[in-house]
Amino acid sequence: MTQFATVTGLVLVGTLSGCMTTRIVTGHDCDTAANDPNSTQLVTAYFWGLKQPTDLRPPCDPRFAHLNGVTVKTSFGNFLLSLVTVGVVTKQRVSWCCAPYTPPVDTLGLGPTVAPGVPLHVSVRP
Amino acid sequence: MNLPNGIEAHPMAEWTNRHENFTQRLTSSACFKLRIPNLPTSQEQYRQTTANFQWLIRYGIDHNVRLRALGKGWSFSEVAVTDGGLVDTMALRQSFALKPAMVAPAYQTAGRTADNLFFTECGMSIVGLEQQLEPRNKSIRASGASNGQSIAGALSTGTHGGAFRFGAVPETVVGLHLVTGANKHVWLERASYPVASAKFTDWLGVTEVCRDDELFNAALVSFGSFGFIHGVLLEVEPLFLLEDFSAYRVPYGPAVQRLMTHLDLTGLHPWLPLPLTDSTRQPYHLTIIINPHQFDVTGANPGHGVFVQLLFKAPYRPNYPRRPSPAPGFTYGDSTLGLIETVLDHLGNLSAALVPALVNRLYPLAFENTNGTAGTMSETFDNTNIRGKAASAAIGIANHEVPRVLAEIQALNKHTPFPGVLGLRFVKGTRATLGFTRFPVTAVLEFDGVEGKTTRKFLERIWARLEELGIAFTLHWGKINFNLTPALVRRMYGNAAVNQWLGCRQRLLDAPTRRVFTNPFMERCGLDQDPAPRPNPVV
Repeated sequence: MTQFATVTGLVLVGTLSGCMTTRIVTGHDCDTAANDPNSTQLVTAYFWGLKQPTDLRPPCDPRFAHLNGVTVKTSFGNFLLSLVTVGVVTKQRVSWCCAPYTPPVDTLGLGPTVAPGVPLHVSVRP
Repeated sequence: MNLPNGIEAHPMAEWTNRHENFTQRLTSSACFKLRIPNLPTSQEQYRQTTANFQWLIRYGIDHNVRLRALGKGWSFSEVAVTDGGLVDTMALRQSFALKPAMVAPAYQTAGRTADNLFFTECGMSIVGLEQQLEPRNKSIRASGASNGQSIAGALSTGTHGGAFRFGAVPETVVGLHLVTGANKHVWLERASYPVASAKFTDWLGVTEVCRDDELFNAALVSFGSFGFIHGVLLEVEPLFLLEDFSAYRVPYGPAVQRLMTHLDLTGLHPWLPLPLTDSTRQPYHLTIIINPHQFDVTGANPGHGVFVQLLFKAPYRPNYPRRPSPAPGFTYGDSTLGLIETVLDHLGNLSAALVPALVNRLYPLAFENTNGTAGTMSETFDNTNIRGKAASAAIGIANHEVPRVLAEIQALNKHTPFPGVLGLRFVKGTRATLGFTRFPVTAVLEFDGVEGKTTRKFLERIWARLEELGIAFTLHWGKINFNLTPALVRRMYGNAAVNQWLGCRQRLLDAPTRRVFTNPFMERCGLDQDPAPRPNPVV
């Protein structure tokens, strides 16, 4: 029984989780939290790549619009699907991570201040 | 729904933390992402974001939905999430240096300078801070010994590092800008340590300025339950280097025990030639790592000793021996730890035989030889790149209790082998009311390993044994702490501290706002309650 449970567990883990992960990272700092479902997509290609998914356009802040990382996962289930369909259907999970838009450090106290509620231009960027 | 400038809908039906040991179900329509609004000046951007936080609180009250700011997701416990909506604040990264006009005169007359203050929004990561500060020849004073967290997240869960003469991340914070209601946002700092001038609080446009030690100390470690933390004022210092003195196997003899119980560095000379007489170098960070399956408590077997690392602070210089880059090649896969968990969970009693061999095999892979190198804070404590599912728990104990606790762990490990290793870091006590580094020198004993039944069983037994022996301890809010109950929280911190914390929350947030910022974790710990009334003074 224990052996059966172990084998079942192994098969489950192999099937449900990523068995091949490729990660491209330029920086680990992202402007989203980890495992954000808004930053991941399952993509499918058909007929040995003759029909491909269109290019993904991650919704990064347009003021910077850079990526810091991309992860592509092929699970055992995806592999099995490709095997069974002889490559007619190929699936991969793609995740991305936007580089944070970080404005330059501002300096407060360089000029006069005015009362709250009045439109202010107190701070001057160096 | 029309959303204000800077708020985006960010639907999430569920969310899994970074270390993949829990998944939180959410109210998808109540999840939002905040960005720096498109406005011409930094002040207008900052104030619009404050207004956006207030809009979210109003939304939470009107829709009867709980909200919580989401950090980088490093916590292993559900402390930082809620069953309502999550608000992703990671794109809020405005930051500001301060000129003297923005700083309280009392701060400056005490010999401190405005250029060692740095104000940043809650979404700024520790590494982002370092990237802003280091080119300005400045440095943060403490990190969590890793730089991937957000500043507000690291602060709010009491992330500690190992600065045994300084303290944890909360000790670097001297002011907080909190959005505490739909029409209220406050500046909070200690009365005993005023920092901000009226010009600064006018710039923020706060509705109230609170100079109050009790409120400030309570708000420091409050897991996002005291409203939205919009801005954090940090004390920083001139850029420095951390010089690494480390040895892989130091016998667990009197020298190591004196190091742990009295922070006495003098007995380490045979293994670590420390610069103890050099006044330009000061000890800063202490880590000890133990493989419980190769640990000789008698100290007789040097092969079963402990890893010791001491980092000394030294003035920055451009030429220094840098840490080696990570070696190229293969690393363990995203599913490896999860796979090990499944195997161990299904092996039953057989896992007891497998665990020591597994840990002994993997233990050396965790180390890089950094002895003799140096680096800035960002180079020394960089990203912790754990892949996939992992488990980590940490207890805080008074440092003089460490040998006794290690002996207990060693005895327990013989019966229930722990699939992981032990880390010890030493941290100066915090002033945060519910800061888990609450002992004068807190030894943070970390259990890092594989998530699963075996680990949880081991942790439960350790926690129970410490209670049985009457050894005072605390649990890290952001690590595995599934045994926390209202009674245990009160035993750890004392009724006075818990009541004080609850009272401060009640002073800052009205009842509808408190409901928005209450999560199931707080209910489990009894931290959603009203404080017990203080006894009337005898007339």
